[in-house]
Amino acid sequence: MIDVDIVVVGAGHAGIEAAHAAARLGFQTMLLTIHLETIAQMSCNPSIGGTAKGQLVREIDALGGIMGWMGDKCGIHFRLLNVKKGPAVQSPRAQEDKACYRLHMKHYLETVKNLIIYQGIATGIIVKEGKAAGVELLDGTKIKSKAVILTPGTFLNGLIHIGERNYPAGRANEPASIELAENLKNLGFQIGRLKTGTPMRIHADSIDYSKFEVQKGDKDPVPLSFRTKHLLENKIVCYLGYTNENVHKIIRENLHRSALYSGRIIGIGPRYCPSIEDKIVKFPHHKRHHIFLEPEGIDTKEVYANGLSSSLPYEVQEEMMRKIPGLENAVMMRPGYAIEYDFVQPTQLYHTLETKLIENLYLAGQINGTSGYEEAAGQGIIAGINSALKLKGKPPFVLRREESYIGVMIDDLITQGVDEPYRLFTSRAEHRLYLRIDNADIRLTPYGRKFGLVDDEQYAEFLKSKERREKAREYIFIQKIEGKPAQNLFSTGKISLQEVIALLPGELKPSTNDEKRFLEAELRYKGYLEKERRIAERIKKEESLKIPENIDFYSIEGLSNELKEKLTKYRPKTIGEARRISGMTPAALSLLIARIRGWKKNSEKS
Amino acid sequence: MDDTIVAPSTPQGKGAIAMVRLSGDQALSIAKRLFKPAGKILPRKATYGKLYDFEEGSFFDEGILIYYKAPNSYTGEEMVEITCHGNPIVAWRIVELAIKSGARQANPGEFTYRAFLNGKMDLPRAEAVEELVEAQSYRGVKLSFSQLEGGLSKRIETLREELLNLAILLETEIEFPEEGISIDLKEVEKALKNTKEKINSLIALFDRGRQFLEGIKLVLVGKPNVGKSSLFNALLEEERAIVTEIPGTTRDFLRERIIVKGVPFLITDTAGMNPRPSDEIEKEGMRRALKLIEEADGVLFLLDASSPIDESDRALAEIVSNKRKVFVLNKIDLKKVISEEDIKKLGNGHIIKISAKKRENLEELTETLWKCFSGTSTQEEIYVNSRQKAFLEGALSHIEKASEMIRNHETEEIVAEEIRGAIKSLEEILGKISSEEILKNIFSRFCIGK
Repeated sequence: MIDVDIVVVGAGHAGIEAAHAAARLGFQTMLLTIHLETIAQMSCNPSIGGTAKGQLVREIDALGGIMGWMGDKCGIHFRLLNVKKGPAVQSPRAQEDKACYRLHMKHYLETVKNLIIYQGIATGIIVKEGKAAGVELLDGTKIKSKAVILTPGTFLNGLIHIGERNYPAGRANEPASIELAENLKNLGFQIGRLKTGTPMRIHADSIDYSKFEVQKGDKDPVPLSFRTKHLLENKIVCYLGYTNENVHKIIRENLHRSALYSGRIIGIGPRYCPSIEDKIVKFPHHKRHHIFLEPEGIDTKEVYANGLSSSLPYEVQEEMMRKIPGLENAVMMRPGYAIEYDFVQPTQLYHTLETKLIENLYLAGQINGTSGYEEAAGQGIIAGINSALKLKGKPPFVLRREESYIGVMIDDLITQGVDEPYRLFTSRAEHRLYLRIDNADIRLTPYGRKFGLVDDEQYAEFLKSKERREKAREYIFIQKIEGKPAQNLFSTGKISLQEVIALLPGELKPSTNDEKRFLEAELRYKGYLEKERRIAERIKKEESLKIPENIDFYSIEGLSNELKEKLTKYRPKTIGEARRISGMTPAALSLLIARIRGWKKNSEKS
Repeated sequence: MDDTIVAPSTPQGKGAIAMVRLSGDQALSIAKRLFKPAGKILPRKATYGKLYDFEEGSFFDEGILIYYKAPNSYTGEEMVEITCHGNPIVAWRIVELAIKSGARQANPGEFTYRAFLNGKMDLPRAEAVEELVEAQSYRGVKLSFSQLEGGLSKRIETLREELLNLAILLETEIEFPEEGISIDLKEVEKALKNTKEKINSLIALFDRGRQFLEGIKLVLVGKPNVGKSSLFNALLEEERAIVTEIPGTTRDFLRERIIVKGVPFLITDTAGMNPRPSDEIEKEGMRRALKLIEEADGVLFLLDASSPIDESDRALAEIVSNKRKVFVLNKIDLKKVISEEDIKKLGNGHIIKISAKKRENLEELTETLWKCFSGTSTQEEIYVNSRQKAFLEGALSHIEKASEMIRNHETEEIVAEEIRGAIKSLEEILGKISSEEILKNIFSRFCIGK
């Protein structure tokens, strides 16, 4: 019997952040993994970041997470997406050396205080009096804990499909977690099925690169992390190529052999990451589709063929590959495949990612219906922080939609549920112009600091940079050029950012690209940001509205009996807490708010 | 909705019959406690039975029960309608017994609100229910019924789709920068212009809706002693006058509603109006009269056929020069000293000759009012209310801002912000939200791979 405070099942991108946060918050934490060698494995594409995801990584980083920092350390090709658009939609993305990421992450986690890394296969959750109390392993070992965080990813009842064949697996040739999936079902969770896929990997030396367009990294790479000090270096290039009608013809002729189109897959796949057969069926008029060739690292010849995700039989994948200009003589090292896995409908969770069904059981990552390393990591850190806060008896940590992409994602999951793998997009955020990479630290680092996830050095630097950014902004707001406000001249395009910066005194001049970006955004979006701030403040004020201790919920007309009972039982202290009670509707909440406001007025009178 | 609501649906007061409605999961089981059917209760079939007072152990009336099975009911929930004899005591006892069985008294409009929440109708339709009940004329009833059928909703929906299409274009460009999809912002601007025109034409329908639902506002003007009060009273007697106190009327002016061929007219008599005020009280009266004229849809300009047009008439004509008007030449039973040519010098408008005192030609007058102000029935049967108008104007200002930004070569995310604002305004009218919908469309329309 092993005894710890918190056990995290699965050492993927969600599990790592969860375990790291829980340990840093002072709890004896065990990170359980099937294979120590595959901690932090990037199962699919070799990159971190991208639109909305880049912002998300910055948020994880600002809270004290590891993904961005490690991504910069092992990054080999960096691009800032949407440079021609405004700062709010600019997102960093880094191609990663997968082996580096895996090794360095494992090594780093081995040095984290309070964190135990252990190899084992979890088969079930130990539940005592409705609370999670540990996990049981395949070898019979019991791990006793006060909280359990599940992050099993595609391993949960995973089933790989290639052509007409399928076999249980969590990732190619790795065992699936079948008992654990069964256990969740038996505990009473509503379980669904999703699907994702990965393309073939090709030997670098067998590719004729002259048929592809080179895609270089940025001259001045933008890091994923606020903490990164070293100069980022583009060590590789990527390549862009295209499919053609010949490729499409082969796919069309063999469609019946694709696992997806033969009806053998019941799980729903992501729309934004379709397989090549999907693209050809759904967009028959497209003459060609993009293929990006992305090296999987420095010390490897494997190249990821982004765009060729497929569940066709190996020989068909081979045949279509050879019809692609530049890949005529390519050597495939791993075929693409589709994988189906179980997920727990996330409407069964609270905003803390704790399950409603079993206390102290938290879920993060693909088990909640999401897709993507970044989405997983974002949930992981929230589950880790909340499991620890709960054990400390402290109030939960819930990020609002108005202040973070993490908040948008979790709120979407919990309130809407999912019917396909959920990916974050900037358009999901109502406050997109505020949720930026250049202010993620201003938005979230104070929280990370409060919980003990941000160390003194990082915090001191943050405060300094924050002050400089905000002072520069206030300075420009009062500057005038020939009687006209400089801010207006800039936002109407009459003066450039360089001219704005020239107005600043030396000590306020931006010292990093982020500081520059911050200034640009705050000037350009001024009116919108002010409006968003007012809305956010109103919501915050409403959330923090205190519910009088002696209120009689049964006397509130219009509330359902069920809610009256729940409110009486949980006695929420604020409207924010009341909002998170399951079954609470906006209408019920406004009845409650109206009652409290009326209450205040009456007591003021008397 | 996890509670069951109950309320009488017929007005309080005695009538031949009254009806009580229940809606919610428990509707049928609650109804069965107080209604003992003579036969089996089947969905959408009327069942006769007796009303049972389970507290006293006795029957107190007989009636008909109709059960609507969810979701095929007005609210989309389990619903029961019990029709009993029209004594309010009976209806209220049913409500009491239902409450004692676990139902809750419904809030005003809650049945319709639930229908909206359950997706049975969107906001304009829900509003139309209220407007139909409140409409002041048959024409208004028909208009709100076609609104209830979805006339306005469809128009707003189309506008929203047009804007969603633009949002999809912009969002695709933002979310998938490497897919090589590039959009022409000039095309977006063109589309915006088109949508803007359509919104403007909807806003123009605001006055018409108000006119038919509440009444076409007419102001009676004329110098003192021209016979305004007699005409006012004569019109009220001639047409079916609904003599009720109308909110918002000041005590200084009399305002009444008359219905002409199903069209309501709100006529205000500006007695005491003096275009050349001599003291503070008269000045104030004049100020209010001017405001009334300003808000009015038209003017009834009264002239005394027996006395020549004078300075007072001309001063009044000046005040109402930009209003649609009908000249009413009163006192034609006396010696006529005013010619049509004289009147034409005061401005454009129909001329009707009457005698208010002798009730002569009044029918011709009301016929003219109807023709001049009520429009024709071939017009589209939709309107916008003041809430809808406010949101349409909100959408319009976002669209104008978005166009301006495109002209200023602003980047996509700010243009998108304005378009999102416009969509949100339209959705406020319909009562729905969309971000997921934009995404869904992106995927059905574009091939996104990376």
